Amino acid sequence: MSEERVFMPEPLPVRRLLEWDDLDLKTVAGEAGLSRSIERPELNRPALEMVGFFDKWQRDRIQVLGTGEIAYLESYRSEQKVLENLEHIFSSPPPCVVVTSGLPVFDEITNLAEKHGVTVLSSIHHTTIFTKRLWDHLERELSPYVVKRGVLMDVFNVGVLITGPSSIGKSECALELLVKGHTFVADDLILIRGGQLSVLTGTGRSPVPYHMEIRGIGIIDVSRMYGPRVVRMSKQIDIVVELEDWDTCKEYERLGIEGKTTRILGIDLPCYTIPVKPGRNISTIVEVAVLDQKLKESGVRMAKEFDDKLIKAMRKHEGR
Amino acid sequence: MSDGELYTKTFTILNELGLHARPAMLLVQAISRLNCSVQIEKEGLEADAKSIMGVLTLAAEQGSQILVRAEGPDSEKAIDAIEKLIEDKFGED
Repeated sequence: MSEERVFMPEPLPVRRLLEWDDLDLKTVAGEAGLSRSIERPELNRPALEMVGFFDKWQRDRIQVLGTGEIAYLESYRSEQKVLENLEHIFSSPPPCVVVTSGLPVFDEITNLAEKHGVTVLSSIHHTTIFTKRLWDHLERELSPYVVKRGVLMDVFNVGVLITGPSSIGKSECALELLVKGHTFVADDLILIRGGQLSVLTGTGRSPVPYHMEIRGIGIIDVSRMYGPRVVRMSKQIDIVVELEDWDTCKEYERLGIEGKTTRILGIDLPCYTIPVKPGRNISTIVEVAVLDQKLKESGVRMAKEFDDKLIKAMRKHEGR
Repeated sequence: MSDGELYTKTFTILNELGLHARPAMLLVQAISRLNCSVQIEKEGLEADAKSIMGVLTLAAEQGSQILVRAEGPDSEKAIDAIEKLIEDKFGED
């Protein structure tokens, strides 16, 4: 695969948070701050900052006030020092502030929100659940990504990125796979996001999803032709299958004892290079690659086991 | 192959594990692009030396004898390549 160009995502405006229904966020104060940018997926609970410890203060993180922080404010909101610390937090300013668990948002907070133009949002969800959901969204939206040419399919629940030069038959291979009952994600430009969890997720780059071009037919809508059952929006990428013209001077994998990998966004994925030649049923070979990988993941090394059995058989023969 | 020279030679397998997966792959790779046909015979069983599964099926253990028969313009090269691999014990022992 060619040199990787890594894209950094655009920062998100705070108002995007309101679109994610599972967060159940409402704007409480500081509406002017809805256009502020969120650049990082990390979150901060500013308990230490509220007691005056700002040594590791990271203002570019969303600040989450949970039960502890609100209870502390409730007890000490009359103390000047605490209010100064709270003002330090708002004046920095952070992208936004969220109060979880449907906890009360004191006037001190709303006043600072208005004064510094920092939006304060409230969610009914408990802090742990809320931060987990918010993190999932932010990680998805704010992770670096690459764009690769290929087809992304879900084959036996394994995400397969099929790559190769133009007109090698990637789309035709995908079509055969979906006729066999596998699921189509995208054709041509695949957006691949990395994350902090060593997982790559691929989605189609096209604003009009689920279309592919079949030479001799033209553009087809896969979801319409084969139904919504055979498509999905995104899929974790587990293996890469590289199709290439059969090169008689090149040695292809013959044993499969040592697996090859390819690196995308710093993550090594199992990679199979499949030489294409008329009469080879590529979609069936892709299925075999997936099943081989599934077996390898469950500890089954077919080629290695074959070799061990063969050596054992030869030893027996020798000792005859 | 009409203009082919026919070469035959008998070898004894020297490496401890015999002609298992890795040596078989090296053998097949060494001759697969040569312009000749190569057969390997062991105890009356004959395999195409360009086929991994064929070579493995012979299960040629250490000390066993194989007869290599190469026919075609590159037949001498094929015999030499196989001889070298066997003498080197396929880089194993």
